[in-house]
Amino acid sequence: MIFKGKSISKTLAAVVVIIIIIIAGVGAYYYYMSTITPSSKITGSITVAAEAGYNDAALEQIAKNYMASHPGTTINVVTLSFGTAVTSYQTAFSSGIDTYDVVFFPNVGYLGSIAQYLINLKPYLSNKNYFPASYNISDIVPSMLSPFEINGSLYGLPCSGDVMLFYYRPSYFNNVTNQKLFLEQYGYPLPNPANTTLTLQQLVDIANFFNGHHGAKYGIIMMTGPDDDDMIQTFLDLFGSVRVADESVLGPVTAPYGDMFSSNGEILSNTSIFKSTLLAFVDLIKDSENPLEASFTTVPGTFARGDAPMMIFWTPPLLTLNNPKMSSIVGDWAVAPRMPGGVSQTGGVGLGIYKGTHNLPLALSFLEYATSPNQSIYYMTLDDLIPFRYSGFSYAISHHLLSTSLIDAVLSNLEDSVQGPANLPYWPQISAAFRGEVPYIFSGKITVAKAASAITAAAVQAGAKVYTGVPPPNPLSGTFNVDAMAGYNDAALKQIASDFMAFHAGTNVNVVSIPYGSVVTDVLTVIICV
Amino acid sequence: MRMNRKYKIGLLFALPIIIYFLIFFLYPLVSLVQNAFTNSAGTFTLANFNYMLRDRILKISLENTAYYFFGSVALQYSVGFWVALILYNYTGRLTSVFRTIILLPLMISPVVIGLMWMLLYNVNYGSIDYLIRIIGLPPVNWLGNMSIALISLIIANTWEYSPFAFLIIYAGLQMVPQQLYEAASVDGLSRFQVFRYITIPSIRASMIVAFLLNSIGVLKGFDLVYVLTNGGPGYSTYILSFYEYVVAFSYFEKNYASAIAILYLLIIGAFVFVMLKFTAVEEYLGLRKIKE
Repeated sequence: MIFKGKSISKTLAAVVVIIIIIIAGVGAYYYYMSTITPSSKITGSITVAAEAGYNDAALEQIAKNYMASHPGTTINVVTLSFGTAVTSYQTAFSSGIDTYDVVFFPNVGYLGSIAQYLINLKPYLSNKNYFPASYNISDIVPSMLSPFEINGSLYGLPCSGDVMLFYYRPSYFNNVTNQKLFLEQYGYPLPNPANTTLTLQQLVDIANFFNGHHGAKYGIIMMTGPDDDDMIQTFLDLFGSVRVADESVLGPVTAPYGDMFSSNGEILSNTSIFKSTLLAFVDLIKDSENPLEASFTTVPGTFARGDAPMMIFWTPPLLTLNNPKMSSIVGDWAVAPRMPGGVSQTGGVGLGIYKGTHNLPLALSFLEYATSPNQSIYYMTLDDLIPFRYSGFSYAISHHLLSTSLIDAVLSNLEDSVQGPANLPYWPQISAAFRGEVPYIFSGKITVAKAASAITAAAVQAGAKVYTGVPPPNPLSGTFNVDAMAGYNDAALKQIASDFMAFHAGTNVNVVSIPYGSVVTDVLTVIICV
Repeated sequence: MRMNRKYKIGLLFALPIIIYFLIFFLYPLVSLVQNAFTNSAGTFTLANFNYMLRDRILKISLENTAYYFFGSVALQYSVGFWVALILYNYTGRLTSVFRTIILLPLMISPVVIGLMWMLLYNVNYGSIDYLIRIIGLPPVNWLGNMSIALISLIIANTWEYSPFAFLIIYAGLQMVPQQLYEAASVDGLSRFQVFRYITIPSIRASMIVAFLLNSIGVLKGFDLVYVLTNGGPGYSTYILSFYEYVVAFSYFEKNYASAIAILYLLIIGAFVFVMLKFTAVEEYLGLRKIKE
């Protein structure tokens, strides 16, 4: 036996010492991170990656401002071609080359595959020397910040916001003839997106109704083409709503684009809700402009030409649809307060710092500067991007960049969006498999089930686990009692308890109504007995 | 064995190219083979090649590559050949103008060509569908239809590279001695006989070189797929080079991408070997003495 007599105590002692050393080490690290101060004068140079035609104008301007206010520093802004950023980072960072010190993430879906090369910003964010009180982290819209978090580490800060929106043209929905015909055809009134959150089925019905009829060329405009994530982003917006409704079984959605995963990180592509949503999605593709070809660049233009009553897209058209030079539907478009199904997807771009940067103080200082309230305005004014700070939205209203109603619609969609940390290391494979398989369903060459199997197989090949139908273990389980005051708050507490139990399977909450006036006596009795 | 001085000097002069060869050719090749036969942890494995046998997308890519190759080469070659013959026989004053226009696609960046064809093929505002609508036919979704997308790529590829075949064959035609045609005229040969017995044998070398270079160019093709279709719709325009790119730079699975690269290399190698073995291309390129 190894553990005998003295050896046990020696082993135990060694284990205890090691644990103490680890705890002390971690504590010391965090203490150090929270107390260290950047050198009194930051100097040197760093390279910042920007994307051509997306955020390069703003980053160039911010870099100029930074250098003017921080003499002795040089910020080189390198502009990458649209869509090449992640590949450039992977290539450089996997070889250990510090080509870029500060990088932008064009899509948080890819954060999982490059996070290993980035520094965790959390310890710095809580250090007032790096991020002073004026930075005001609470000013950042929460759903814009959370996607940059993986397993408790924060790898980026947002520099522009985005959210999927449901655009519609009121003239189609308010038309009495359309309303009458729709009712005759589908047996229920044509829903008005202004005050109704459409269901997925209603969306499909409306798209079918308008496709090629009643003054519309297409039923709906949305991204269905083969470019990168166009197709899957649109799908996830619809699937998110179905998925979120099933959270009690599948576990909470933990990330934008994370809808396809259970809370255990298992892919849900083999589930019945995935397949039924896929079927509805293919139905919508049939009603859309240029099936299998409509892309990020073509979709807003088609809607602006007035070819369809509905569009699912990101925020950029907000800034162009009321411009008579670019739109023929000025005054006849609106944004629904909620996406069909009630859940939206956040997008937006963030900035992070490469682990191997040769000038961390400068990189941190620039990151703070480039995402601060004052400088973040430039993303909006120079690159037409949507704010990610509440103060940015106020600025947009006060400077008449967007109307109050549109800002309200964006903010309400942002609040409804899927939030939480992104952790999608298999995203590229899943996205490619999705855009690879869906056209075969559309063309009638394979069934939805077969496509779902192929997507699942691609994810498994990449290393993902598959959802097996067993609900993830619920950390909240058991029974407990809640005291309520009869006739005062018992009705509300009973309803809240009922909702809680529905959401957290395995829990049992008993609301005990205590007569008015005897609450204090009851509580004191319980405490004394215990 | 000791090297003589002449040999040493020769080696010294050859050293830069030897170093270049070692760094930029041999090292990547060795690295490629090493990656293909290892997993991400660096352990020896045949799993990458084993997976190839089960990889449905690879199979689709190989089929598409075959269609793309035969379609593109046949079209590029015939268009280049016939345009060269027509222009050679054209004796007007606009020869140089036509020649410049024909060679124009060769001078444009492949990415620009891709973007240009993307506009031409657009269903809503593309010129091709505009013309189709004018004659009363329904518009064609050139890039969004799974059955047509690969053909659309072949057409764009032909436009881009047939001038290359044209250039080589046209240069070959210029080298044919005029005396042969004069003698044929004296002998009373028909136009077809002149073509069959004088033109074709005289430009055979150019024809084979053009065919070989066009074929290798098509096998290497990537740019148009990337810009025009991104492999879609579905996997309908996935060709081997594009799939290799996706695996390497989208999935970041360098080991499997290396295995695909080796397969790709073997296919091109086999093609070049067959060409060298069964044609006299080496002789025409001056790589081997012409047999007496």
